[in-house]
Amino acid sequence: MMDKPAIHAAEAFVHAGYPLDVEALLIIELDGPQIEVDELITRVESIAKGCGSVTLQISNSEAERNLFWAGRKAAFPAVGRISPDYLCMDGTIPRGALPRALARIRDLSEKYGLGVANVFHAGDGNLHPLILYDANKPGEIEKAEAFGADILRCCVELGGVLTGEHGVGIEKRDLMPEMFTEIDLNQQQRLKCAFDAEGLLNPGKVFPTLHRCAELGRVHVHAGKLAFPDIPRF
Amino acid sequence: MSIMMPAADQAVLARRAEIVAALRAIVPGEGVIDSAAEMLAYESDGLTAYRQPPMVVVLPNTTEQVAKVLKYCQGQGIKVVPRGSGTSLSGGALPLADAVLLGLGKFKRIREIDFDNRVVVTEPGVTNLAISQAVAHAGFYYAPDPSSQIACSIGGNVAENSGGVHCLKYGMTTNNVLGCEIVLMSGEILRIGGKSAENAGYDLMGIITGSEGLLGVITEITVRILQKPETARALMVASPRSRRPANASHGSSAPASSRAAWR
Repeated sequence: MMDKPAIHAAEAFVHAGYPLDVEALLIIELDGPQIEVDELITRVESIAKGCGSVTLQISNSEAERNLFWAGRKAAFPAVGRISPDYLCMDGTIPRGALPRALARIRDLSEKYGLGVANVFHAGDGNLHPLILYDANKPGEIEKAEAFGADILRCCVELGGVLTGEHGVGIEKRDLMPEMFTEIDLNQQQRLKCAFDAEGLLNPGKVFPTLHRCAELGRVHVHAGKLAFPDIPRF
Repeated sequence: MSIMMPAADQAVLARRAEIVAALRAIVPGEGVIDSAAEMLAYESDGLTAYRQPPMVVVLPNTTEQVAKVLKYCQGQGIKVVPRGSGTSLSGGALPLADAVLLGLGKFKRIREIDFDNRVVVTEPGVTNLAISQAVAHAGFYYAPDPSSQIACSIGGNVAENSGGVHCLKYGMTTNNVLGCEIVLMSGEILRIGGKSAENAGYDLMGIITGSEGLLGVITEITVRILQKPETARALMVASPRSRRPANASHGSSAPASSRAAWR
């Protein structure tokens, strides 16, 4: 699914034939035996009509199907053409909360004064708001990151999670406590300790506060040294 | 940077030359990169707002080399950041100034294509799309399809539990991976799962998938391949108001009687 800014950016980039006078575009794909797909696609069409949507087109060839997807698949680079920089967020919500999430993102966009283009997996509720900013303008990256963090908080509030498919990494590390309690995070780190007791593998990622494994019930102090003494510990 | 990373261990940095030499003894030739200019290529991943050149880059060729590098680093108290194709959008492969960046780019061989069991055994540096291309002649493909599939590695897909537009129907990476070989910081080599869909004991494959390079370094992966469906058709639905298609996406698998409530 794409919203208006994403549709316009994608269409200008790949000329997929997307309508430009609509607010949102949803691509639904069905696969399987021909007879089943032909039957089900008309049922999907009538559901969409019943929901007030305008059915534009059903693909009649592989080339046409690929064209529908071309804009969606190229949406990220397409958005790169309309903004000097963008921050690609990745949160997930229960899909029933989609309209509420989109409305919240629109409100936040106004609050922060930064544009946003939405490209996402509507079916599984995985949102990819692309926050438009200009890294050359002082303070804009910080503003974009604060906007992104608010979107992810909103995902958690709506019953979703901080990430869909991009991982926590460093980007969402400090937001983990929005979703997990200290008990949750400690148990996750005990698992980490079982594999890498000294915390040497990819430190600084995923966990906002690094615990010494000993504090979590497993004694392993290498050469009498505490790993990363500078990191805050509970 | 607004994100605080662990401070660099000056004692480790002071021993850099010795560490580079030790890594060269394990991975000879061009497998160790230590010049500042060449290391710039590794200073960030897909989250380009954050940059940090590593202490040294090592590109092993074999599982044994990976094991030796990790064992050496653990013995010396040196941090290690694993990296696939570097397409992570969350900064999973962002280097640390005092860490070895362990790139899996040379693990780019598909080891076995087993159509009878519908699996492919592959090295982690193979791209997502290359797996589908390798089995396309027989009418098969690998289902999860991240938008970066021409570039992202299957090892990175497992580390991040990557998704894609077809994951609604076919599941995320975790639903399409059957086994792996993984090297722990101790240098121990673990084999988890295999070609069978059933496994005894804890679901370690499930724990490794999405572990973001914090548990071990994956050196081989067994993925499920599927027969291409007879046909696929797409439907494009547009709405004059942004709320409607969101409702349609909900309503498509909901009973008609309750659909009206979401209008």
